[in-house]
Amino acid sequence: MLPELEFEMPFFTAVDDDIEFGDSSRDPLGLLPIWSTVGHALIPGLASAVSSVDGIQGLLFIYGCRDKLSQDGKLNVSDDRLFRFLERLWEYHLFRSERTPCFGANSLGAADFQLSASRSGVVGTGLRQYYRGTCVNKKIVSADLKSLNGQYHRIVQDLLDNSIVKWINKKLPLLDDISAHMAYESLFGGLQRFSSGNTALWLELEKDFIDDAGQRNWIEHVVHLNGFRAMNTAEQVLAVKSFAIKSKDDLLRKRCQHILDCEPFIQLLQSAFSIVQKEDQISIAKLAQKLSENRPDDLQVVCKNFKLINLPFRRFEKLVKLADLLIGNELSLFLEDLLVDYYGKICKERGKNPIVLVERPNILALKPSGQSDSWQDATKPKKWRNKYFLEAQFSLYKDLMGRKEGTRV
Amino acid sequence: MFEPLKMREGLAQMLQAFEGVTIEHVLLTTFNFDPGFFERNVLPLLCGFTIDDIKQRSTEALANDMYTPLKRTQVVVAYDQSVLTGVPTGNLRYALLPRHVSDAFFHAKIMVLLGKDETGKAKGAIMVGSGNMTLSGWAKNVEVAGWSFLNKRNAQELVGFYQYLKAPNELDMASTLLRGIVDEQNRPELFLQYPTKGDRNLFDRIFPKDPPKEMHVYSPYWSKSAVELFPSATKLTCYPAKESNSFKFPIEQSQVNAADSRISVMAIAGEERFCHAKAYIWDDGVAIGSANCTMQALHDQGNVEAMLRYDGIGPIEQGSVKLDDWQVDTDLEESIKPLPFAVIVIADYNDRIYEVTVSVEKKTRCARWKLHFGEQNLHADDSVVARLINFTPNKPIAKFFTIQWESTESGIQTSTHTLTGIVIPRGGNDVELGYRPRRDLARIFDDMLRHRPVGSVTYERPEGHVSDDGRSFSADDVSDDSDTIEQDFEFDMYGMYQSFFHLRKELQKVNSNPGRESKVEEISDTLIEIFEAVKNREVENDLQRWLILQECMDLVKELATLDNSGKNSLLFEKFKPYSTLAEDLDKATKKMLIGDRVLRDYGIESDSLIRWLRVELGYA
Repeated sequence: MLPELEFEMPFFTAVDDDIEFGDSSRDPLGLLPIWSTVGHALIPGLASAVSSVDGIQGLLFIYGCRDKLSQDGKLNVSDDRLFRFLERLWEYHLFRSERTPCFGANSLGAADFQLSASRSGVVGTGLRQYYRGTCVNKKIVSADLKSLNGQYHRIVQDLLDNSIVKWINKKLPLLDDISAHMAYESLFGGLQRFSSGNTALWLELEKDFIDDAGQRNWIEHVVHLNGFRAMNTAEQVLAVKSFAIKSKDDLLRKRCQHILDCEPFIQLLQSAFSIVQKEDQISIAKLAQKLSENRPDDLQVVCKNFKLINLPFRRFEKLVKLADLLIGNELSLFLEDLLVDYYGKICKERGKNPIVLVERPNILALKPSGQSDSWQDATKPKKWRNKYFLEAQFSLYKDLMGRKEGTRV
Repeated sequence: MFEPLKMREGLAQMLQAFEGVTIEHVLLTTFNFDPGFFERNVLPLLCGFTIDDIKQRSTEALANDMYTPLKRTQVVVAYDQSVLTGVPTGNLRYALLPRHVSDAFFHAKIMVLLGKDETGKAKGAIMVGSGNMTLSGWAKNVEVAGWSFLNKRNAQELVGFYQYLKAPNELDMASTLLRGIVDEQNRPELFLQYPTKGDRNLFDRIFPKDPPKEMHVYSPYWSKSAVELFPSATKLTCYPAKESNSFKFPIEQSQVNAADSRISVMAIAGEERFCHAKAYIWDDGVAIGSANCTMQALHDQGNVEAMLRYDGIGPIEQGSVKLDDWQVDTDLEESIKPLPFAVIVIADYNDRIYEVTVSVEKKTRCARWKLHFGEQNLHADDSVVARLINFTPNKPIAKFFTIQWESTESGIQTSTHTLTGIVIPRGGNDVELGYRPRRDLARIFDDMLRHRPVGSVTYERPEGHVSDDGRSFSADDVSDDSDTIEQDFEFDMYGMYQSFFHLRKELQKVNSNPGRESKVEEISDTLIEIFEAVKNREVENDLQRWLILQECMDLVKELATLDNSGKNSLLFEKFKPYSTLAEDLDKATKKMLIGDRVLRDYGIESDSLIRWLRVELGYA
């Protein structure tokens, strides 16, 4: 029996799950803006999500309906409500026509294609938000996002069936309650017609999506290359580069080189981060030793090449600092800088709890990941992590060219 | 014993038991210190908030409501300066004592509460544990902790420790309270070890003279000699920690498995977490605390450690499994070497100087160093440097420093190391130190200074995005498309006037407020905060600074008319130093406007524009 004591018994501690641990986030190191900036130099003005002509047509459809409804002076619902309904209708139309939806397929899983709000109250982005930046850049929509620009306005009025506008007009007070299915059943003829487009539209889009003769040459060259679609992203960039070398287009060659120089370094960082994430708890010194033992042979070259890209961003400057630490083989400092100065600040900006934390002298992975990654092979990426930007863009051009030539791709 | 409990629940229990006592002083010691974690998750408990409050309230709201409790209760955090994790937010009132122990660690983890009960009698309580003031120490790891009220014997043990900490301003009052504790009750015994202790080592002090039959030792770090120094008659069961997928223990499997071995190696059954607990359990006693099973902690008397011994409560059954496989590791204690130097940077607000001391103890591990704080850079190869450096005019006072040093210990390769430390403020007032008097006013102030420095990169935020897996996430996650642009900050004039509008409303309330004096003081503190921000160029754009200043000067006039207690002159005295700032800004604004092309094109004189602005905005 225990003696009577005036103190609490000692205790082993339990996990305190009331304290919030790390929040996962996409692109934890915030590398996409860097990669995309390099990619944008090759194909300017396009958002990475803009990968199909269907989406651009969707935006034209939405604005076209809104314009026609306002012209008749009958529009007494907010733009937002109307836009949400039209987005829903267009996406459902694509779904029924067995075409790819224009925003995240899973987000369409919500009842009747309604966009759902996230836990933090952020409404899922619809087609309009994905495509509108690009459509402003390409002069399809006015800069204030209020109307379609001249030529497009005329084309859309030609393509838009009056019966659609009339039907919507009748249903305006009930817009939120009308199912996409019901609307589609009533309007599919008009939707099909709008979707088919016309030569004037394809020519106009081609004019606005291809900036100059040089760009037209290489786009036409690469999209008609045999097996281009089957190539991986690196091979696609190399194909453009080899075209540039032959045509002596130094600027295009340089831009391709930047893309090729960017990816391996980004893979290197991403891979280091994944390796850190695999360890529940490890000392910085031990992890640095682990990385040192598995140093890629061409680490210095990769880092030096990345520095040549020279982007005017503060984030790029920070990455150059990391590259310098790798060049100097200061792996402990590199890890601390990567996790505290670089990643820590990104988390702070995003208002998120980090998933990897430095508690000197240790590194703590709050959400250890089972993902395997090789630091040794990081600089020779077989599969590009940030592949979707160029792939999406090449798809868009292929789609556009195909439509112009009368064949849907 | 050893019923698992969350660390914060343990603290909440201790605070609850202390109810009825006005807590005047809290001392917290830790090896590794994460100020951000402490301020968000532990400090609020010491200020009277509950775990639920912490969960539900924003960091900002908590920080502002901690102002008054922290004015009442002195909170001091002593930590080993070699392992600071992050820097404090700087707007919470608590004292920091970075410690350096020559060739060892400041490793004790205690929390001392001191105060007086309703009868004015001094009372104290102490929590001793193994967890650092970090996320892993308080939320993730397996740690061990226990608390007890202070009796006279333990209070005396603490008096010596407080003297060792040598921070008279922060700790004098606490020492007086400790000396006033007369409790003679039987309580767990506190053992503190520090360089000036001059007593036997922890091992000899804590463990019974007669060898116990059995000893269970939980420790994440080990040295072989320390294991071997347990009496040969004692059967040892050791519980090492699992790090990076393997357990680490300093003695080979073959030696442990030998027929005549008295050592067995075990793990807590079903436990996958990192076991950072340091506990020693024998036939009829238990000792818990900070001391690892290493020479540095138990025998050499190098480290600063704290242990709490419970007599008459062993042996304890603990579910465990035998280990057959571990990595033989002669790891460094806490995985790092002690710092080869001591560094302290004090910002003395009275004399407007930094006091810098760097003292290198191991030249081989610190051949040269480079210290950076605020606008200052110091480089030296010298072993001892003590400097007084004036604050840089018109620049914010440094809140932290970084020191980089080169080690040539390996003899061949030079390696570079970096450490971040906190600049210790001395003699600053609330405003200078950034303590915020009131939540509403603080919010107004935040609104007012809503800006980004000119030239910073900002990405236009799309309104939302859906990831490939369909999860909606905020725009902050995404800046990967052509909507991504770089833009300079534009001054939010509307925001500024809105903020001053609210401040004026606060002022109007003062008229009907019975606590007029304190209200006037609060508002004048806020105005001084704004003046200081303008002065320190926290707002970079000169025109923006000028406008804010005009609003402030105007409010000062209004404030003075409200104060009928004959203290007008005092109030003006408080704001007098800023009249020069106003004149300087007038000049700077005029200069800027003289060069303005638009004004030149329209033939407008800068003086007349400023006059017009003053009239239009109601400053005249």
